[in-house]
Amino acid sequence: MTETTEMPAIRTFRSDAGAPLDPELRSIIARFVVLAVLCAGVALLNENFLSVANFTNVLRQASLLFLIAAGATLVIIAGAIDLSVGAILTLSACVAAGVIHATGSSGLGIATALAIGISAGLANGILVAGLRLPPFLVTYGMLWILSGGALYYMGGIPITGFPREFRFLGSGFLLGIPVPILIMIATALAGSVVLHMTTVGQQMVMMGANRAAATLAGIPVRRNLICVYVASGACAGLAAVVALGRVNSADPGMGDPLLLPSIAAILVGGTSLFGGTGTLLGTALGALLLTIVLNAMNLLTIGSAWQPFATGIVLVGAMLADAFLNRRRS
Amino acid sequence: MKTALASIILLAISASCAMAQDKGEIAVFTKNKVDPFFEEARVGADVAAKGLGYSTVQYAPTRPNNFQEQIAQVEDAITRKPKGMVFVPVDTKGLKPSVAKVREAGIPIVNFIDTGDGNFNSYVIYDDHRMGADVTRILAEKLGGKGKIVIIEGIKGSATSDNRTAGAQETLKSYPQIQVVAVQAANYQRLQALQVMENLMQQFPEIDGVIAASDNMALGAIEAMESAGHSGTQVVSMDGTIDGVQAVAAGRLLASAEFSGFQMGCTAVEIIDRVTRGEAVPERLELKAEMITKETADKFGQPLEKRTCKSLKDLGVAS
Repeated sequence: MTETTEMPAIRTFRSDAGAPLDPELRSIIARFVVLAVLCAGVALLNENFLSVANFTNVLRQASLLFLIAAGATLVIIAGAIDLSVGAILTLSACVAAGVIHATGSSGLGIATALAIGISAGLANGILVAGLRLPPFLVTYGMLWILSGGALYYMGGIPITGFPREFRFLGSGFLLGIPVPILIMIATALAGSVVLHMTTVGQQMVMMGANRAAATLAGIPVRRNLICVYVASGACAGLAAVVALGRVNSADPGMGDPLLLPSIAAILVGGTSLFGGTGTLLGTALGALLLTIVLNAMNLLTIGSAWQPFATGIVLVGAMLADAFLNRRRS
Repeated sequence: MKTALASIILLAISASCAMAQDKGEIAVFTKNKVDPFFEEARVGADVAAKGLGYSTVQYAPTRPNNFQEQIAQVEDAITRKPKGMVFVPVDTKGLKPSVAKVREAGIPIVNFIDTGDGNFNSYVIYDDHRMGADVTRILAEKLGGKGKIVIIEGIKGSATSDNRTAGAQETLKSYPQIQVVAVQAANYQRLQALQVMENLMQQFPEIDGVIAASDNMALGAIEAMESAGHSGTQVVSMDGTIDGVQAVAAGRLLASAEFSGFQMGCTAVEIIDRVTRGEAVPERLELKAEMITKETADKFGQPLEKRTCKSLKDLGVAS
């Protein structure tokens, strides 16, 4: 048996077929194992956990977290970060809610949410790529600007009650499956195709792994950065539509609590915070893991005082198990 | 007719302005300009001040809850020699020296929200524990003293949420046939309350009642149940937000308890008026949270510009 040392941060390009097991595939398998162990554990303690109804319930809850994290995953893979996704969701949702109430048009509401998401993403992209400002600060500043905008727009009063056809995207069913789950699957597929099967996707991975080398290789780094930020904004806008449909209400605090869990879902899903590696399937698994933790605690009625503690234990445990599994396999 | 009405209003406004010149100004300090609760309080203070013949000057840090800025604002305000200050410190400990300076300058200062440690002339508060207890009694009676209920907490460890939950638990002691099947936190978030309720419905197919520590969370829980086609569960909560009151009126929410920033602002100003007239004031004034039910809902949740202050006499606190 030959020992192979591997440094995950410096990945060679994906086209080198013939490698025994792609590290990304391995990381996905490791995450499936962790998730399966967690599910088995909870199922032993609670008989309702593995029911079809609860499985659907968990997937529907995870889909919102996934949507807000999906575009941001691409940003992180490309070597930047987007801290404004929660605030983009907030502003998109609030203004879309206002537009629906003013015009009665669900279509206009959806268009508004997406337009705000895309514009905010474009602004992030131009500031980061065009003006070469630090991504952390730009998107952190954007977080405040957008949530401040939402506060003033709403004037402290939530907007509640939307037409049935608008709410369909958040709380409807298609062929017995909740619509948000279908949106999650479609987004994950589309994103994965872009990331793994297109030149742009490969360029994102390369520029995340080594920005200087990517620039020297003639990759349009700035254009691609703008693209990932726009994708991130668009996903947050889409998440806003789903969130509105689900809670049937918009308030200026709705997106804030989603930011940290979305970043956690991305990182738990195996995307490196330093860029250059990651998958959308991983982010979906990360979102699922975080959602299952809350679901399990509710089902087991673990006291609120213990919940942050339990969440921490599961997250750290998942990381340890992942590291262990990865080491074993290599 | 319209012009007549307009001129009467104009007259009233100019008369109150003239009156305001008489008694001097009251400085009103809040933590920020973004929280609707403080907006309510500012309007309440304005309305009360106008009624009593004062003018108001509003101070709030432009950067929300900024402590340095509030300290500077207090310094500025003292030099204007106001008749009194309504003051919510951004940080009770950090602003203590500033409050002491105000007292040294002989300016009456009244806090609302904080329970405090005695350096203010008076504190205006709601008793969260009692709100939780009272609203829970309405639920327990509606359920005929039996059934399965869940409690949705705000942020575990925050005084407001813990006291409200403790109040609810205390009432439930007198209803031994009511079983609390779960106490879970949703951090005052509507979306999180929705998800927590969705999860709890998986575990407990029959839930007769829900006690939520805020209207916002109650509405999330109600949304979860309505989306699942689950009806018949009674929900009570606290705060009396405009949304919450509408839900009570529509019969979606059984009851809420009024936690009114507007009235806190009113009462704080009235206490200052009493201090300036040399009357004794209670060191701690607890406003009684009114219960909002379907019968009384039309009295609550009015837009700010239509609200009126209740005087200490109306509240039964003073003669």
